[in-house]
Amino acid sequence: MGGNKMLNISMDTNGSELIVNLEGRLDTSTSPQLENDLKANIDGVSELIFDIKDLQYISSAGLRVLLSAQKIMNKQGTMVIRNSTEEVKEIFDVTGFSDILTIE
Amino acid sequence: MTIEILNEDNGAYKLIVTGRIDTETSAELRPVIADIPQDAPEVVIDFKGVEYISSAGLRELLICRKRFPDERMNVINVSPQVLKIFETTGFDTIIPLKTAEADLSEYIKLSFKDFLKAKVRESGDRVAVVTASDSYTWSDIDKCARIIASDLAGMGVSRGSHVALCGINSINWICAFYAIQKLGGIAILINPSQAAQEIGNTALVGEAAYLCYGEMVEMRGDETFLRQLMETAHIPEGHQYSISSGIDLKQRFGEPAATSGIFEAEVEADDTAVMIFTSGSTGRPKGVLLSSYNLLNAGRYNCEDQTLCSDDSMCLILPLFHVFGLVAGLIANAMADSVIHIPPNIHTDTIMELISRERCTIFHSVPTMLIALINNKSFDADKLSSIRCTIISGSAATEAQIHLFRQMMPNNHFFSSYGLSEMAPVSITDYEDTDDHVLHTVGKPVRNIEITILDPESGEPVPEGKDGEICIQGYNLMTGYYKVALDDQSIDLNGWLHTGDLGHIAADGYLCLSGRLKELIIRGGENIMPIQVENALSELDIIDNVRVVGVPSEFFGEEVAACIKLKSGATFDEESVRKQLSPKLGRFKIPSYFEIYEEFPMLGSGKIDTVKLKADVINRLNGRA
Repeated sequence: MGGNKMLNISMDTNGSELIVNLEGRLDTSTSPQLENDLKANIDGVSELIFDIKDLQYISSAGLRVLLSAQKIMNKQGTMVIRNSTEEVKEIFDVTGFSDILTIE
Repeated sequence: MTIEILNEDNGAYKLIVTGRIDTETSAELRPVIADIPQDAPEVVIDFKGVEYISSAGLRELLICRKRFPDERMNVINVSPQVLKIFETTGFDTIIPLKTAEADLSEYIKLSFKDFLKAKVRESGDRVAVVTASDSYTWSDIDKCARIIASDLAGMGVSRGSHVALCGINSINWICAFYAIQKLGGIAILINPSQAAQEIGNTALVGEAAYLCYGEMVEMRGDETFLRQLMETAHIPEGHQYSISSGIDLKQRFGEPAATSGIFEAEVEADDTAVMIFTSGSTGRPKGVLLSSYNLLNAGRYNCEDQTLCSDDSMCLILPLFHVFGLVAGLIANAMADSVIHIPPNIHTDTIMELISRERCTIFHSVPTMLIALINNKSFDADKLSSIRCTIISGSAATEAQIHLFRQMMPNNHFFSSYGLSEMAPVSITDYEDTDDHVLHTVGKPVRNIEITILDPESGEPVPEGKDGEICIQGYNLMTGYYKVALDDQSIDLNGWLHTGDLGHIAADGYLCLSGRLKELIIRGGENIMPIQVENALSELDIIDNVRVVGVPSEFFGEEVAACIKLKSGATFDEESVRKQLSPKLGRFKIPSYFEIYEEFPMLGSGKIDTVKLKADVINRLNGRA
């Protein structure tokens, strides 16, 4: 498969904590995959953590999925985004999402 | 049946199959599949041209699936009728499928930067824009954009920079737009008809660090205008760049910047490219974040819906800072390779002369402008006879207006359409649609988007045909609002954008609007659309204009109040009005209060300021209590 199209999602659950590790590119082609995986696993989660140290790129469509996730988590707990690379951090900044999401 | 085999660089295979896969033809599939090395990383079978698949064909796919396990085999672009065969046989659970609609490969995946590059490559010598004094090919536009980009880069604009772009439609506006895209910046599009402070405030909401300014309506050569704008916006001195129409960028084509400007920013289709502002009549403007992917694909489909082709030419009066002008004007024409004519002003004389001289075929307009053209003293049906397509924007036309338009422009086709800055277009009527659809609906949903109608109270889907809040999602949906608190982001947990508009989908699939959710009056649990009551009142002889609002009521929650402007010389008799309304409206919809106004409070845009009016009615009623 074309290496640059990929998104690998792995999830670790620890009780009500869900850690989502994202590796690759979260864009128009891959964000539906994350959306579906989140929908299937978010019930009962009170702490949602995105570890994005291996995420190379996040697109508008990807930001929208995070926005919906944050809305869900505001009702049932907390959500944080960790280990952003400089490039991805820049995307959060220019789109104003660093003010809306909790980025550590 | 034919099979085309493509071997990708990474060892993946793509089979493009066309025709019918049945008992006879399916045998041809097996040797082709057997020839693919078993360690191929991916085998994609494109079903775009497949009309039918028999049991024998399904069996070949099963063998292929076994040969390439671990999701390495995929069937894409499955049409609805072929999908039905998969579903009835249960093979949809065995073979990984993508339907034609969900397949993303048919979307344009270019940034504006790369899109412009493609236009230069494919249609470089074609004229794209004509102004009063000159014409511009795609290569010219690219050169102008390079010059501006190089100037802006010198000022510090780079990837992710927020650059306000404010000016009436012009060739330089278009070039500046592409220049910002070349640098990977975000173009913050602002209405140039506003006062300095309003423009400044909008730029501040979008946190613009730079300003490209052309002609601004209220500026009129006033130096203090620009200073006030920049101070309000907190844009540093030296970060302003003039794109006024007096600047002829072609004069600079000899400069190295025109051809050799190297802009390294890698810009992706999915990056935020544009910020557009929602035009709420209350509160502060919200910046809508859109990507090239959103806008280019919207424009591409809209181009097809308008039936634009390379022979067409558009007289463009829609403002480019608005999503409709951008999508249905700038981008749709770029997709069709048709020509945009930018009139030097929007006086009816100028417009009529331009359309008549250039034989323009496309003219999107608000009803008011069409009426003004028809009423112009030099109107002659021949002058506008070349126009074949008009999307009526702004507000819906009335029945009398449509009849007039058809009579005066018999060659023209009229459309009604619906869209928001957050997602446009949402729906549009057909090229050859009925007056009834153009007048009373906003068309059918555009391809590949989803619409659902939800009960505003419960959030559940309403029964078919019933009014509720229009909620939408799809490829052209915005990312979100810029720095707006999460609770005010109108995309819900399931990804639906809540439009705040009320309406329903009729049995024939057309979307009908019935009002704004904010204006909905709920009286004792009954939902009342102000527009219904307004329409009934408008039919009475004595009424010149009317607005209906909800006012607080201890008992009912809300009650209906009608604010009325009488025709000159008319007198108001409440009893008689109630009597005339009773056959037209359910009893609970008949206003509890009638208030007479000499003048309504107005907004800068020329619309009635409903918010102020409502406050005033409540004041009057309280004063009497």
